[in-house]
Amino acid sequence: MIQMRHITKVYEKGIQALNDINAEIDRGEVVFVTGPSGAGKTTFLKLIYAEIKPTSGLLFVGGKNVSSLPSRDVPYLRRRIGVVYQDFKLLYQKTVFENVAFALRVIGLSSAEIYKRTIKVLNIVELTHKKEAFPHQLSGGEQQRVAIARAIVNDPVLILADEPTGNLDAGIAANIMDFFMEANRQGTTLVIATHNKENALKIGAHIIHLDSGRIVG
Amino acid sequence: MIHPQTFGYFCKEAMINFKRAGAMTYASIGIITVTLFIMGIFLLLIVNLCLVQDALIKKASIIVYLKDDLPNETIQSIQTNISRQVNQAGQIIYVSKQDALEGFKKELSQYEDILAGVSGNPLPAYFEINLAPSKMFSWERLKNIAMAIEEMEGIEGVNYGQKAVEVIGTITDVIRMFIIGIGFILGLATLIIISNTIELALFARQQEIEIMKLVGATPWFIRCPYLMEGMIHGLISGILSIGLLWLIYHFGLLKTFATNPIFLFLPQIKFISWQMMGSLIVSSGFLGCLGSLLSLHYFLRSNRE
Ligand SMILES: Nc1ncnc2c1ncn2[C@@H]1O[C@H](COP(=O)(O)OP(=O)(O)OP(=O)(O)O)[C@@H](O)[C@H]1O
Ligand SMILES: [Mg+2]
Repeated sequence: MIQMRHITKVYEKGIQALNDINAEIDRGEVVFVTGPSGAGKTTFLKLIYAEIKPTSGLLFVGGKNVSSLPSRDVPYLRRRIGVVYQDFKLLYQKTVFENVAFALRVIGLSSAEIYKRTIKVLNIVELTHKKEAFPHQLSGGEQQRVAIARAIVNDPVLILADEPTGNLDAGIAANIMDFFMEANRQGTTLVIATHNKENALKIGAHIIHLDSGRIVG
Repeated sequence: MIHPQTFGYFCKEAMINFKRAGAMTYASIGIITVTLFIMGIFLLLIVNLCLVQDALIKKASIIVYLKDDLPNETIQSIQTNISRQVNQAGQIIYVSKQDALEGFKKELSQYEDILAGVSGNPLPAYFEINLAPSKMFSWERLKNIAMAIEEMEGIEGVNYGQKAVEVIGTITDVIRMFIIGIGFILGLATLIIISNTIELALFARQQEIEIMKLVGATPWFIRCPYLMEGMIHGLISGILSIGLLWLIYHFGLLKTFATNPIFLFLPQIKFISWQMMGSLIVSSGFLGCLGSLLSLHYFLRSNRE
């Protein structure tokens, strides 16, 4: 699903976020990207959904060379990837329903289809009763679930989640991990960035441990 | 494939954006309305100058002055030739030297001292051709007839009101050029205003656009609601400016011209044509679209580092 060959990312002012990364993630796999704050986890994910370009190296996602993907193809790559952002990136002027439906509007589905699919995923994250609420009326954990609903509504082949259980209490965190594992059972590849290894070790998943932009251990 | 209902979504988004924009939007609609209104004033001017020109042409008669001492046969053949030219489109009157002088004396009967100074008969004989007013009658045709007559033998000169018509023609030509010039400048101003307004709105929604990109929206999908917003912007301004123009026309110009005797000889002034109103509205809508396209250009640049 994902191949990284000698990937290096240097931000402006010479900040080196990733250094000579080689990684292979197979279809249907669950992978945890771990490491301390500033290790380069978010950068790792951003490269995959083409928010940024690698400074050097080769990156393939689903057989496509993302390191040199033309801009016009980027939207189509992103439609096959569901991303849960570290800061959620919800639309604060739109309701929960519209936030989730947004990912489907973009593909231009019919209203009936959008309604059906949106309600289905809101059911999964148990937020149907809050569908008319605005994000600022929700708790942090509820906002996170909206973000997750939006990421999975498209039936993506790949889910990238950045600290999806970050500031949640243990109960909800476990709950959210269950959503992901369920999606994985349906065949979705999972890449989860987190600074605590606990979950990863518990599941016995493939771990890519980063420190100062390098793979260690 | 994009489902047609998506366009309904765009419309809804455009309306929401439009309402959210608030004061700035109203200000820019106001400015654009005034801009288009100025344009409309010039159109109104040109429409009515054309009317005056038309009226002059319709009233036109051709006076054919004859040389002195022509034999009767020649005068006869000139008359035949003229009627062939005019082709029954009008009435031909012959006024002899003697008749001309008498007419002249009658007209100037109050100024006997001037007439006393006139010795002999300085006036030429002439034909007066009164052309039947007809819609089919054009300035070109009048000119052609007059010029053909002028070439005939025994003709001193021809007068068909060329001066007045040509002066108005020059004025309308100048105004036309002026409209093109000013239209260009006002169009540019409109474009800049709309593009600035949309750009301000875009700044406020930068995050929203970022998220649209992240969930896989194509640039055209992101553009659509803003293009519609720009278009609504332009269309509203266009319609308002025509409304304003009509008010000025109906309650200002029409009243003034109808009651002031100076303007009595002029034909009733008219409002700009449906086609002009249509093109004014359509072009302002188009400018609105173009304006938002310009401002979007900046926001939709690929920003992958
Ligand atoms: N846009 C940027 N411009 C410059 N430097 C950046 C940018 N984004 C990240 N960095 C730097 O790159 C390094 C890696 O950042 P990254 O966000 O990938 O870390 P992270 O592992 O996700 O950290 P955290 O656990 O705190 O989220 C950091 O030193 C960070 O300061
Ligand atoms: Mg991070």
